[in-house]
Order: sequence, then C-alpha cells, then structure tokens
Amino acid sequence: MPGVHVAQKIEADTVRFGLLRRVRYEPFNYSRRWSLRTLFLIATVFLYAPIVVLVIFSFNDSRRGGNVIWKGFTTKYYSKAFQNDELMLAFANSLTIALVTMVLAVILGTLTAVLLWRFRFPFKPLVEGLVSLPIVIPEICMGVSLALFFSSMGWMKTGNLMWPLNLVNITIAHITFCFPFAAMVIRARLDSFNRETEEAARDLGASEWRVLKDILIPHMRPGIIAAALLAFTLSLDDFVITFFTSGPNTVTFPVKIYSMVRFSVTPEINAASTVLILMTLILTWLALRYQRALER
Amino acid sequence: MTEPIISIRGVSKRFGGVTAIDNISLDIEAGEIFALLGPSGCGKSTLLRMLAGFEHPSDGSVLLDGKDLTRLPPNRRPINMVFQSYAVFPHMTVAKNVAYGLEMERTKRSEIRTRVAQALEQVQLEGLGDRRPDQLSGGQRQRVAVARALIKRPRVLLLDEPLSALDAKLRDAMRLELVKLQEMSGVTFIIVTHDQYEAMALADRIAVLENGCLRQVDTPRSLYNNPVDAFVADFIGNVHTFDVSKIDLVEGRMRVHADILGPLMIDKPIPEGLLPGVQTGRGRVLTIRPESIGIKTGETYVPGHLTVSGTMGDIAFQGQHSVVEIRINNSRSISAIVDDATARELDGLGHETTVHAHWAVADMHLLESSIN
Repeated sequence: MPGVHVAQKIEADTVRFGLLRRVRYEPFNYSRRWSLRTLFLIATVFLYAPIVVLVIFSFNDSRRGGNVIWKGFTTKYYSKAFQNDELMLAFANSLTIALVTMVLAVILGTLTAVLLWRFRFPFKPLVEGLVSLPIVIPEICMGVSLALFFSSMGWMKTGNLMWPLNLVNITIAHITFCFPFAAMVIRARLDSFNRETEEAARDLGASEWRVLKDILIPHMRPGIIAAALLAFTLSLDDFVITFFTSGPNTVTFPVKIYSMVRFSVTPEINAASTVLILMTLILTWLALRYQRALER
Repeated sequence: MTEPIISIRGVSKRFGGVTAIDNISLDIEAGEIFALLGPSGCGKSTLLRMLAGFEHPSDGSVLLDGKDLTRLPPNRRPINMVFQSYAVFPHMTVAKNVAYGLEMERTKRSEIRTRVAQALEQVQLEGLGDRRPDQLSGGQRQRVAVARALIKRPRVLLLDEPLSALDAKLRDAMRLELVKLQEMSGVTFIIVTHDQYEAMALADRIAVLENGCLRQVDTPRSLYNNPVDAFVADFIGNVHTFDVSKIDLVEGRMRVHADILGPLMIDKPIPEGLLPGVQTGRGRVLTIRPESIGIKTGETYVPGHLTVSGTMGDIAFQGQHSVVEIRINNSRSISAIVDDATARELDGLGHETTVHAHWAVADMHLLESSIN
C-alpha cells in the first residue's frame, strides 16, 4: 500500500528535521518530559538556593551579612557566634523547650490518638474537632490569646524564675500547638492496625498492659518517631507564638536572631543558622536510620 | 457417656435490639473436630468469640470440663484461637510469635526454646524461626498462627474460617494437615466455616446454624441423609424442593400433593400433629438430591420410581461427572448429576430433546420448609 509508505516517510522526515519529536514515554516516566524537568529544577532552586547562599556566606569575610560580595574565606563568625553568650543562652533555651515539648507532646498525642481511635463516647466529633483546632487557627491568634491568658493568670512573672523554670510559659504554649500534630500522625498510623493481633495477644495470655506494651506501641512506633521529630522541629523554629509568650529574660533562638537582624545583619547570624540547619539534618538522618533498622 | 469438654447451656447474645444468638445449647466432646456451619450472619463467629472470651453471653453459660467460664477473660482461659487474618504479630520474628504465649506464662527460657523448636517442626516450619512474618506466604503465616496457639497446649483450639483465605490447592493440603495435627495433639478443634465441603471433609460433627438458631447437630453423613428441614438439606449438599399443597392420610399412609409432581404415596414416618383426613401441607416440602436423579431418553417404567419429563438444557462438564439441566416448564428446571458416559450420550441429543428424569420415591424427604 503506497499510502502507508508515504506516511512513514513523512514521519521519518519530521523526526529527522526535528519538526516533530515522537518520544514514547513509559508509564510514570515523568522525568523524561522536559516541561516537568524544568518545573522540578525551578522548585528546587527556589527551595534550596537561599539556604545554600546562607551557608556559603556564613564563611564570608565581610562585616555585613547582607553583603553579596565575596571577600574571602573565614570561620571567625562561628567562633564569634559561639562566644556570644546571649545567642548561646537563646540556643540552650530553644533546645530545652524543644526537648521537653517533644516528650510531652508525644505522650499527650499518643494518648489522644488512642482515645480517638479506640473509644466511642458522647460528643466524640466535637472532641476530635477541638483537638485539631490548634492546627487550623492562625498562629497570631494563638499567640495573642496565650499571652493574654498567661498575663491574666499572673504567670508572666515566671520569666524571672531560675533557669529552666522560667521557660515554663513558652513550653506550655509549644506543647499546646504541637500535640495536635503528634496526635494526627499517630492516629493515622493506628488506622492500619489489625485489631485481631490485639485479640490474639489477649488470647495467648497477655494482660491489657502487655497488649499495649507488646502489640500496640510497637505498631505505633514509626508514627511516634515521626510525631516526635515533627514536634521537635515545630517547637525549635516557632517564632510567632514564642514571641508573644516570651519575656526579656526568656529569649529563644528564632526570637534572638530576629532581634539581631533588626540591629544589624552580620555573618554571625548566618553562622548560627547554619548550625541550626546542621542539627536538623543530623536529627532527620538519625530518625531515618532508626526507622530503617526497625524495618530490617 | 463421657463428660463433654465444652457445654454451651442456653446461650443467647443480643447486640442492642438484634439477637445474634438465640438460646443455643450444645455439647462438644473431647478430642473431636467440631464445625459450626452456617451462612454469614448466622451467629457462628459470635459463638466462637464467646468460647474465646471476646464476647459475653447475654443469657446462659459456657462450661469447660464442667467448670463455668462464662465471665473469664480471654487471657485466663485454656482455650486458644487461630484468627481468620492469622493475626501474626508483624514486628516479631516467627520464633518470637510462637514463643509469645509461653512468655506470658513465665515459662523457663530453656523450655521455651525446646518447645518452640518442637512446635515449628510440628507445622513444618523448621529453620524459619528467624524470618519476619512479611517474608512468609499466606500458608506459612497460618502455620505460625496454628503453632502459636497449639504451643500453649490448650484444652480446645478454635479456628475461624481456617481455609477460606487459601487457594484451592493449598486448601486441600492444609485440610489434611489440620486433621493430622488434631490427631497428633489430641486437642479438641472447633472450626467456624461457611463452606459445607470444608465442614464435611474436616469435622466429626457439624452444628448447622441459621439466624442465630441451632438447626441440627450430627455427623456429616447423618446430616446429609437425614436433614431435619429443607434449610439443612440445602446447606449440606444441594437439594431440589417441591412445595407441598396438601396431604391426605389414606389408611395410615400419606398421600402428598406437591406442585408439579401430583399425588404421591409416601411411606415415611407421619409427622406429629397430622390428623387423618385432608391436611394443608403448607410449610412442608418434598426434597430430592441431584445425585439421586437418573435420566433416560425412552419412557420405560422403573418400579418405585417417579418420572418427570422435560427438555434438555445445558450440560456442565466437571471431570468425573457432569451436571445436566432439565427444563420442566418455563419457570422450573431441575439438575441431575450423571457419569461421564451418560453425559456423552446426552450431549449428542442437542437442546429441546424430550428426556425423562426419574428417581426413587423412597429417596425423597418430606421436610419442613425453612422459610418461616
């Protein structure tokens, strides 16, 4: 059939002259489409380029951190940051708050998740809504309401107490907004739980307590780890709520950096931020490694 | 008569307004394989969960070796269960799974080790103790569940639909293996199933349940040959039913009028409450099993037999035998099971040929219909 030959020739020519590119894509092989590749590249650049620049300029030998001219390599701003007692105190405050928040938010979150998953009680939808409310209401509202609450209770004076008791306001505020996230993550994990494994353990002689310890908690563990990481990072970098609940003696790392930026931008801030990024990376890596070890 | 190992006495279970179990009494003998058989929603699983201790009866009591355990929690009963989903603990190795029950009893470590090894050998899982459950096939996971329950040396082992999740080949192998395990261990097995063939092949005795009520308890053979009503007859094997319109008592014999069969003299024990004279037969049916029906092409008289004429329908080949459909009229057809030679002969006839189905009147049962 001559028609077929003509059609084949036209197709061959268009391919040869680049008029029409005919590439057969495998299913799900999106990485071969140039449009999607470009999109991916743009997204990556906007996400990570600022962070990379921040890290690079922490080594810039310039007096001003906002200076985009490379003036030579130095690590002096790291030692300067580490010798800045106020910055170090803020850092210690943040870590302490984040650790306490992580532990308490995960305990509260686990209990809430099990409550919502396992039991039926009156007004359950209302309770579920109330628990997830801190996730949706604007942080600024939470910050203001918590500040008003603490001052009307006279708790703002706790900022004058001895360290670390002076951090109690901020820690309470952080637990309040972190534990709903923890509860959500753990609750989602519980959906995949096979109730028959719990019954099997009971059948084999386990008490309620042993069932919790041997069956339910091991099942929840990946969720608990994810929730702990989430709570830790949320607490560590929170600014708005912390700003409203902190006093002059209880400055956290993000609040301190904010006040330093207002004063003047120096590479010291870059250096401090780089340390924070490094810490987050190490934590995430540890958590992933732990989870993979569990799967094995 | 020995004392039954399990005695269920007048047990009822109501969930809200729904009655799941309605006044069931049942004795299970030591060392037998007992099946609870019924369609889904008949209450068989609820009954099993009551024996395990996950549900508590609304009325009545459950006795084990004569002792009341109605209110005992599952972890304090010498009864273990193999769950339908197997419920193997996913985060523990096979050996850990099997050892779990003994650890709960605070058995000595050295003894646990030897008994786990024995149990794994018993279910042919030697050498797989270090595997994780997600590295096992469905059949292997079930073996883990069985080993995990049997290692506790329970008085009774409960199995919830043990073969339903396996494919056909594996099912036959596992069925034989379960019977062997029961013989070796001597433990009483109670099986819940909706599959009549599974129940018949496995069990020494079967209890047929319908809508939370116990219909009949007997050996598979007796259930097949002497069902108490049309429900049991149809559930254990297949059965054709003919609605009875009236019954006459003529000289102490029954003359039964059934829809397409016409009046028939039936020599069966006369049901209680049947008085001489004309009776309505409402609520009763005559039944015949497909395997009791023969087919012939010519109209020859067979003594004691009843003949129904119809036209040839489809023939379903099933290996050793074939199922032949005979259309009696537009709304009614019956099927017969014939051997291969007969099937081949009938196959040559083609559709719409007139054939005659016949069966011995004595093979029919006069039963109460299950539709109340």
